Amino acid sequence: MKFYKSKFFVICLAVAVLLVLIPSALSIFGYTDIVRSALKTAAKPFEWCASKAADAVSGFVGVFTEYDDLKAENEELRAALEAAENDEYEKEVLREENDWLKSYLKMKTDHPSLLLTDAAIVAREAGNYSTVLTLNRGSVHGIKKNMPVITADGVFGYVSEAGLDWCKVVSIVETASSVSAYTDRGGAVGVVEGDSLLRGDGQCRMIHIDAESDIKIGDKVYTGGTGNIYPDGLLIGTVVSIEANESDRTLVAVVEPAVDFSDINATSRVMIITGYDAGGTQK
Amino acid sequence: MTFHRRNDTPKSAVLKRVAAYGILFFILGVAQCSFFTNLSFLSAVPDIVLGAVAAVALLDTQKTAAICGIASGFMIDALGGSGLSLSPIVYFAIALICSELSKKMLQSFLSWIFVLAAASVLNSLFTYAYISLSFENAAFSAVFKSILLPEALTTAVFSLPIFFIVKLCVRIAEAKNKFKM
Repeated sequence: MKFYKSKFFVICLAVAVLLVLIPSALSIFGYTDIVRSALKTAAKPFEWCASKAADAVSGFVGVFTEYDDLKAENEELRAALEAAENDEYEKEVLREENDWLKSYLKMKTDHPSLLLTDAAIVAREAGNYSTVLTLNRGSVHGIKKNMPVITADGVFGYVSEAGLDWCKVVSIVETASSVSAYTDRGGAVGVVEGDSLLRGDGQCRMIHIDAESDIKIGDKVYTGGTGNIYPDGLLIGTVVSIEANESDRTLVAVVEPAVDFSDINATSRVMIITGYDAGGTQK
Repeated sequence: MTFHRRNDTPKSAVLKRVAAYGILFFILGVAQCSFFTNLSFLSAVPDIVLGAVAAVALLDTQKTAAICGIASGFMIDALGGSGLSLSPIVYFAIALICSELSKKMLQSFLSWIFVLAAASVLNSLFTYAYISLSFENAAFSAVFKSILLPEALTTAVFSLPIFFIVKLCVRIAEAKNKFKM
């Protein structure tokens, strides 16, 4: 008890009380005393080091303590990612369907006299170019042999064989294909047919063009409507080269079809023309 | 068998002691306020400065413990406190009580565990008193479970090695207790 009656104890108690009262009072009035401020400033670099060390330790310990949380979070994120991917896939399907419907609408507007039936490609010929395809429409859908088949870009070909619920389509680049045609700019007329040499490049040729005809590279080629298959005014393609046929004094033009046969796949859709006005169609 | 603590120290020994304890408490204060507060896996911040005060109370004189208690309380408030600063009084009181408890104890590790436990209990009492005054509706069970017990346990665990560090400081300061048969 001697200690508690000593001057030292009284001084210590007074100092302790002052160290409680002064900083508290200054804090209440919004001030910071200079001693505390100096101490805090001196400790700052050490505090920075200590907090970095604590972060490192927490990170290391976290490997063991947060494993279950991270695993659960990982599973949640995986599920969310899968849902987002499915959502994106559905959006892509809807976008493609929307594009198809837009092109379908445009074709109906451009050719109001055509009666169209949409069809999906269910099989294709193996090879670089899918020039012979099987569609999911047949006789039960009103499909008959020699009906023309088109896409939003232009003429694709014609139905060569119709089954109950399927049909086979031969493209305009096949050698079996032949269609009367004309160019829009100069009015040159001829016949577009498949060529065994050009088929591999996805091209066909326009023959029997009068030597005096006004035809240039870049001219658009349309169906003439004089045969039994195609109506008038459907886009076939573009002239990419012209050469003279010395044997019968005519011109032969190589035509790049508007339809990209290399881009035809299982998701592509085509339309079968099931009927049209005898007078032809409007471009 | 009697033993007493040396109260009269030469000036150089006093300076050594101030330097040793100053550095020790500064490091412990920074560690407590910046290192342990950032360890996310701990449920409470251990009061290792309090452990050091208790160790000084056991291993050194009552006067030294009192000064260390006031200074370290002020430092803790300066580094990590805000608003009302009660730590100088609290640490001062704990230093005196622990010093009284350890007067008739050997300066062994077993004694240290007892003193540390007493210091933790005292600190918890002060903490609960402060919480009760600040928050009228604070239920003891909730406060005990979420604040007092985790703090006391972490303090006890992380303060155990401080006994040896303070012992080293006492030896450096040549302030070892004299033991006479």
